[in-house]
Amino acid sequence: MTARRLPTKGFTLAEVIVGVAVFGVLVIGTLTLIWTSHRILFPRRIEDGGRVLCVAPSATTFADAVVLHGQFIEQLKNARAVYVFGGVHPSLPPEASQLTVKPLTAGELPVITDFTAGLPLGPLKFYQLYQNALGPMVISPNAEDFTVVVIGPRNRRIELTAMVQVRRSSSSVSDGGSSESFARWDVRYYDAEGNNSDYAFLEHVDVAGSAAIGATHNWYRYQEGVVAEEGPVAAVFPDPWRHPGNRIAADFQPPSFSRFIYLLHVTR
Amino acid sequence: MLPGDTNHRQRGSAGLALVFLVAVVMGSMLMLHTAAVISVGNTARALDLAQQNLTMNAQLEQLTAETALNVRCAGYQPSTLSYQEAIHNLAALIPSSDAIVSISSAPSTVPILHWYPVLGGTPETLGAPSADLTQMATPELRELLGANVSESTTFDVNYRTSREVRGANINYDTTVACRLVAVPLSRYRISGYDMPEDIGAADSAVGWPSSFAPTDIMPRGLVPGRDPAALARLVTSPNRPGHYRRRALLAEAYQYVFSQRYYDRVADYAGTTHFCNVDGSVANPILTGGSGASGIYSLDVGRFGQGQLGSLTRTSSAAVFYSTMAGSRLVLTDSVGSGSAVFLLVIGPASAASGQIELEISGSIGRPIVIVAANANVTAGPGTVVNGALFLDPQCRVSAGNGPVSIGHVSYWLGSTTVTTNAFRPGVMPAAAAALSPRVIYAATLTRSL
Repeated sequence: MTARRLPTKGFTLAEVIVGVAVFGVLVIGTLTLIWTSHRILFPRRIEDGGRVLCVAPSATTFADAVVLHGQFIEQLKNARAVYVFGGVHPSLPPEASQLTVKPLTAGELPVITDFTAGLPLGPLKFYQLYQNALGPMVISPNAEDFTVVVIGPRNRRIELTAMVQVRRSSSSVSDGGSSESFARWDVRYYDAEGNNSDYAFLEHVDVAGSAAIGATHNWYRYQEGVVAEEGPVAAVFPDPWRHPGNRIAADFQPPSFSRFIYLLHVTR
Repeated sequence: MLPGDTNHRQRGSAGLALVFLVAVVMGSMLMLHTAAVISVGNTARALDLAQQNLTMNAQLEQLTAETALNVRCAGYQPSTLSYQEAIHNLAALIPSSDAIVSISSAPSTVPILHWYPVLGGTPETLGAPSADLTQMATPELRELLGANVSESTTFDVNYRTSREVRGANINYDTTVACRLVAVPLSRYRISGYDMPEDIGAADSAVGWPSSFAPTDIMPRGLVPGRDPAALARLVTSPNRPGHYRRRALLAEAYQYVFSQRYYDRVADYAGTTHFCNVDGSVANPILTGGSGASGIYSLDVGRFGQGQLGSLTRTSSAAVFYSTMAGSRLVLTDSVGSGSAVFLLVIGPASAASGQIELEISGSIGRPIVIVAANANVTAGPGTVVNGALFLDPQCRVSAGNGPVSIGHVSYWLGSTTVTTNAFRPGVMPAAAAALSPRVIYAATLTRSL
């Protein structure tokens, strides 16, 4: 009687191939998730201008942005007038180009408590009336830079209640022989209650270049020397996360858009 | 058990354990990642809600103001609806796709603003906008208000906005304060006005007097060329933009000024002792400073005040002069040059086709005066100064060859081809005359923080 030879091999070739494939997928998936989660939860931080900034997307910077915009919305609720300095004017005829104004340089909330000179229907006239309090304009702003000035009631008087400054600047990081270019976004908020908040972050220039950040002015009507009346301004603020959180990597390309979008009315 | 079975099972268990371990790590990371994304999403949704409330606040302010205007001055006659009924009707028009708006409390009535002439009452005096009004007014409204207004008291409307968020019902309570304000139409020294039809704001509540019905030749408004301050490329929508809501209010106010109801109101106030036929075809009351014969009536405005009809003698600040025939003439002079303000309503024949009443301002008028003229041909000598306001209906005619006339205020129909633009130049508008000018009503609102 001959004894049957028992198998000594643990897996068949097919089992090994399937096992390696499954394992590989799981490992790759895990590493991807770990990498993505790490990038989101612990975004890359770079020191720029003496301040450590996150490279978008950044959940923590997004939280800071929400706090700032929550304060801004509170001021907008009772706003009687909102003036936006800086931005583009696609609907304005070329002959009215002198009505465009640049962002303000103000680094703190201008104080205007006497509005007997009036609340005009456009930012240029507003600037001309209250130039002493508003200070100078930025000489060479970026296209994305703008300043929002909110006028509203406070203690039963009309006052300048809030201001937001949005700035874009360039930043590069050198690492040995290579360097990376970033766009830096700074958003600063000031209000009459003394609340100052801000958020800032870096963004790869390729992504920043495709994001439609800035102020777009609309005009109701214009006639030189007679009337200059602005419509609502579409103001798009920088978003360190991007709605609805689908920018899962720093080099993620649109479609993605800022959650912080407003239609700001000079009057209503 | 054979040795090979043991090895096989051990290797299999190790493989399963490894896969399980990787799965646990991967699941944990997935949960962490999901938690982060959800956290950001929730924060973002909270911000979205705040932005939605911002929009809703603007809607509620508009709802409050529009209802007040509809109830109080749509067609410049009080609505038969109470404020509560009207606001419920209007609120029902708000789309309820994402929020349900309910009105917690609203006043049953809104304050009434009285202005000259008020039969048996006193018109509100004009004054600078109050601090309460100033803080409520937007730039456009502030521009329209000017320095002299009359205001109502503030009334509140309380709203509750309900939204369902992730299965939970969230309520927001909002209070909107509203204040009506009346502004003299003499606010601007020279005003070109629209009629409601011109800007697509026709209001059937106010009918033109049949004898003054406008014709179809009236051009449409708010199109390039009609609005002197409009650019063709910026006014492209055929619909009436919300931006022109207050312009529509102005148009309604002017329509009322040239309506039968306003003429009746002035006639009631002036009384029979100050109701004169310029044609001389019927017996006239005897006005101090007035005399007339054969279709020419002269009035010395400086001496105007007392009127007598039979045994009835009254003193009034207002008078009505009318004509049913072409060519009758009313000549105004002023031998005194001062005094309290007077108000004259001058009405010509049924239509311009039937001829017009001639309104001749013979020499300067120093006494504060408000003249509302319908279907009149206004003439004045060069250098004439009128210390007051002149409101011209769309059929009036003013010849530039006779001017320019220096005047505190003039209103003319923007579409008129019979009022030349250089017929007037701005003069002094006395406060006493402004107080007698017809007024337009606006509404100012403000959301109150709770």
